[in-house]
Amino acid sequence: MASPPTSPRPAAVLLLAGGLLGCGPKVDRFTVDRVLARGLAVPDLGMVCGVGQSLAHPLAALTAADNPPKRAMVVAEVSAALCHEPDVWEAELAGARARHHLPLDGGRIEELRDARIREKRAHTLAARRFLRGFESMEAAWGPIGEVSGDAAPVCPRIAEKDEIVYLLGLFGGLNALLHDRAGGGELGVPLDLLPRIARATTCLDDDRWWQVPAAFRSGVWATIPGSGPDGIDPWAALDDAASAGAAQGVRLARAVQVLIAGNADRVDLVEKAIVAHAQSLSETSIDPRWALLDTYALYVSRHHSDLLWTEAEGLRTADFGVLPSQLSEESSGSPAESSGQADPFAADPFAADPFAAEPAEPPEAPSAPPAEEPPPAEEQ
Amino acid sequence: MVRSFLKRSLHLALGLTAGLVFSASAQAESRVLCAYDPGGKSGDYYAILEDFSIWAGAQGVDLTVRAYTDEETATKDYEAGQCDGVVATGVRLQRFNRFPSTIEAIGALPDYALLQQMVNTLANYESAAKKLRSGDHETIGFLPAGAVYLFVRDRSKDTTGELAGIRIATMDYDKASMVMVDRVGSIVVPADLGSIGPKFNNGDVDACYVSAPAFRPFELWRGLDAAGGGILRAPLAQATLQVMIRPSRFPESFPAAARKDLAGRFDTALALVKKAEADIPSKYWVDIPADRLGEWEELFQAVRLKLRDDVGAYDGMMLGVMRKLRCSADASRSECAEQKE
Repeated sequence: MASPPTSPRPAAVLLLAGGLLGCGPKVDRFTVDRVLARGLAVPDLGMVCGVGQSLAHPLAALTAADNPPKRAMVVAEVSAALCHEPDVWEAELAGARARHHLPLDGGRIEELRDARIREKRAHTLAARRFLRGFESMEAAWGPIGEVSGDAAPVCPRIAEKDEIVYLLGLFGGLNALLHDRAGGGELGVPLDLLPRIARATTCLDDDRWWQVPAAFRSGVWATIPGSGPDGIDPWAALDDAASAGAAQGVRLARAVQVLIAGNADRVDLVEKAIVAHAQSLSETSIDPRWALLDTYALYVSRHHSDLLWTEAEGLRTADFGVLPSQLSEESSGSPAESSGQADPFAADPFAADPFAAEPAEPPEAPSAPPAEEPPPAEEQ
Repeated sequence: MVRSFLKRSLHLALGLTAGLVFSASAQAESRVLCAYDPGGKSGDYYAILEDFSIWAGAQGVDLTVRAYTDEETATKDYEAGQCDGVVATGVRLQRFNRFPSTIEAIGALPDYALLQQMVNTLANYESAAKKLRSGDHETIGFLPAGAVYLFVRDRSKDTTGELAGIRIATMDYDKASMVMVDRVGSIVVPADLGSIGPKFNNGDVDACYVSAPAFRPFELWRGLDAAGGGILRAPLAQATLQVMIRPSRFPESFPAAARKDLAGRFDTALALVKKAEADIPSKYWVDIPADRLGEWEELFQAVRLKLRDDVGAYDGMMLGVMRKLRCSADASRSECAEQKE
């Protein structure tokens, strides 16, 4: 018999709701200081997505419409958006798989078309949630990326303990735009969001946040020609940020690099970033306080690895950090060369084909008793 | 017996047909289309081309679309043989065949309806197909990328005479614009796609020319707001993303069928362009009074003729067909009697 679904005890929910009711800042603090802090330490994206989906409406309902818990809503909506990303990824892989088999089977065309439709729908659903998270962030701190008279970015006052929410809001904005474009632009997320996000990242300390702000910034520069400072190679800056961030045990900047390079179809950069990500995992242990974000970063990079594998071989990554292009390079050389060992089959010990002629009748040997067959296994 | 023979023959024929179909699809090699889209894989044009590649797959052509956010790199990779096809603006592909790139001639197609008519004409006439091929390069599609407008930091400069002496950010690979800027007496400030926005917004130039989809990502309102600027609603040209392939790498029937398919995707691309135009706040648009439009059209025609006769950048036949289209839409145009194009 299936066990009944677990649910919070009604009394506890009422108590919690009663304590927080009507007060946006209290809900914000509880969500950011308790729920988010707990969730970030647990490397379980499914659970965080579930929490985001479940909490978004109850959190909003705890206060009056004109006093919403804005920071809490950033957390809830961005977390809820993570539920749709696996749908996007699976649809992308389904399309890549169908395309891989395309030359052999024309019937895959419908499969490919269906995957495209699924992918677009999932992109739009993800974009919608990310966008709501981003809008809550702007509601909390005002429009991002504003500039002063001398064109310097203007930053709001962000309490130290809220910086993570601001970072999640920027992450939500970036993803809202990318998902909306990929989904057909149904939401009309404006493209000037990118330069605004780039400027807003200067409101956060790069070192404190594992170079993720720097990665967002250089990612935007790489995406919009001329949007970065003169003399800086945005792709190099993005790689620098990703490497420095990985050394801190949270590889989110590396995932941003993979995402931006993947969007630009820079397979060379995606491959390098994936290898670097895998290498970092073996060299630098996860910072347990931020295990969720590091796990998310791995999933992003691994998805791009899956895409490369599926396009090349029709199946996803078996060993993260190994690329299909490496396999084809190895197979083009002799195994001895790649393994460094002597090839036992390199020299032909036979002067002629040993299987060409019928073998002569073997001399009669004294009959030996046949080997005993093992007894059949007993049925359980 | 006869029936049995017929039955066996039918089975044999079906078997042979199935074998041929299977062997054709089994032998389909992968072809790569290097496609410029500033939005990369999440870009709108990439999405259209992905759909096109699925259509190609149904025709037995396994076409992979590779996104490029840099147009010149896409074109160079095509030239280097790394791609079997390329998608780039007409002006960028001019060096391969000036006939299709002439569709972007200055002032030649004042509205999208005429552009679409031209694209359909090119897709439907066999005589056009011959002109769309030059050596082992064949243009198989045109997608609208937006009418190109002049953005000026001073909106009062809306006549051709007032452009004299102002600095205009000009793409160095765009011969037509060089001639145009020279003709109106403006100062050429060399620029590329990456520097147009900063130059205009910082006041390093007084004007630049782009299509509406560039307005948001380049934040061009900063330059417009700085000194009361505006966007002159007189399309300088129709930017298009053109799909060019090496026909030797595709089945013989593919280019003609692809042209028809891509012509059918015109509306999807146009909707994107119109959305971007509608997204520009109305306060920035500067409508040219009807009595002054004539001077702009005279300027456009003079530039076209120079580019055809002196520079050799425009194809005369294409210019002639576009003049016919303009005159069929409005026979009262003065150029209809002159027939200079």
